[in-house]
Amino acid sequence: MGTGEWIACRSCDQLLHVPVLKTSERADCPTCGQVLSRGRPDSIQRTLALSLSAIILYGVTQSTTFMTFELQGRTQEAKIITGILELFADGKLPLASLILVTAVVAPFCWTAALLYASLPLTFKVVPPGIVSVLRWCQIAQDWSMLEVLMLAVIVTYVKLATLAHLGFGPGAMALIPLLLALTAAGDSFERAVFWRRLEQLRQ
Amino acid sequence: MSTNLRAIHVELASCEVCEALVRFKEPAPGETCLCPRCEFPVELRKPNSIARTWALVLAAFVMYIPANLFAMMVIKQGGQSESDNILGGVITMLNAGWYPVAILIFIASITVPLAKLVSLTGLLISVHLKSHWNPRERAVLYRVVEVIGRWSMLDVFVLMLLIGLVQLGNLMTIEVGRAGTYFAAVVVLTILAARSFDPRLVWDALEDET
Ligand SMILES: [Zn+2]
Ligand SMILES: [Zn+2]
Repeated sequence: MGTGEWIACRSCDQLLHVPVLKTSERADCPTCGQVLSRGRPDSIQRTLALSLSAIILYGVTQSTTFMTFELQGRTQEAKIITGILELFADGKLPLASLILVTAVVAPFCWTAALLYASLPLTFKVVPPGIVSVLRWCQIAQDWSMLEVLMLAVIVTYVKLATLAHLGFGPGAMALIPLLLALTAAGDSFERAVFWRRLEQLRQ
Repeated sequence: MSTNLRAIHVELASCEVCEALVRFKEPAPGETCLCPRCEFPVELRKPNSIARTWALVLAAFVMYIPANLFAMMVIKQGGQSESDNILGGVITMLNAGWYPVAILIFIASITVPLAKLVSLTGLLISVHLKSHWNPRERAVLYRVVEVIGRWSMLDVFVLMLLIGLVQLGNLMTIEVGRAGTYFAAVVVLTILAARSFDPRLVWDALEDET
């Protein structure tokens, strides 16, 4: 520790020595250009702060009205889950499950995993099951697609705005800061830092 | 700092979970080599990468056809029912003058999955042919494929929002058509295909003939 570590580039298998980077420094693989490491010395504390805000915003996004739709005096309110339940009721199981995973389950698992890992590690405690949590965290991040949902909200607005009166609920409002928090959390989460801290604490 | 050594030459494996360098010993049948730091199995290369990626890419190509042929969205309004497949939806939006949205949906739903499948096919063929052509560019291509995949969910999310919002009984109802399931399959299969391809194979092929 201290002087960095030897790794193999995950994209081209080149053996490389990556020094400990200062904040906002970045190490790229000289052979293939893959980003190897970003300088995030305060990775754990920053991830804690951001995942804590993200989990609160996530609660608001999922539990409150997301959008409203008004046509000829009739108003329909919808949460994110409304359309998914409608799809399940309609028997479209594969499609409904995919949306449930990418818009509801994976974002929650990802945020919760970041919080579960960063909170105890900040206070130098090793939480039980941390190894699997860090492993699953990666998979949950891959399947969390809230940024695509954000773009879908804009497209839906354009599609329906000429047809009827559309409104945004607190859920849609909270999606914007949630995305900012999640993006920043993803950026501050440097998995090598977490694993090294874990290794130190175990010794 | 770097060397000209690649990890595989000195029997070192990179742990996919925690990035640790692990001394790789060929495990006895039925056993696995475990990473000392995170205790997950490590391999020198993703197992059966080529065959698995081919299978997923071909399956996705097959699903791509009904996903584009069948109706994606069904609008029921005043006793009438109107259905559009993905391309039909794009054309409807173009006729309505919503050019940016039409282009966005066209790129996300039609171009992105196809570009991903064509790129992966190209990468697979280049590995088969042990191509020496621009490995660095192919590495970039693979990273692009990994990043853009998720955006093909755009149309699916729009559909989900529309279905949640527009349930006004006889007045107007929106339902998902037959293409929905196939489209979901394309999205999942292309993401899994991109993940099962091992980009290090591109570089392994460079060494085979020297
Ligand atoms: Zn590299
Ligand atoms: Zn490991």
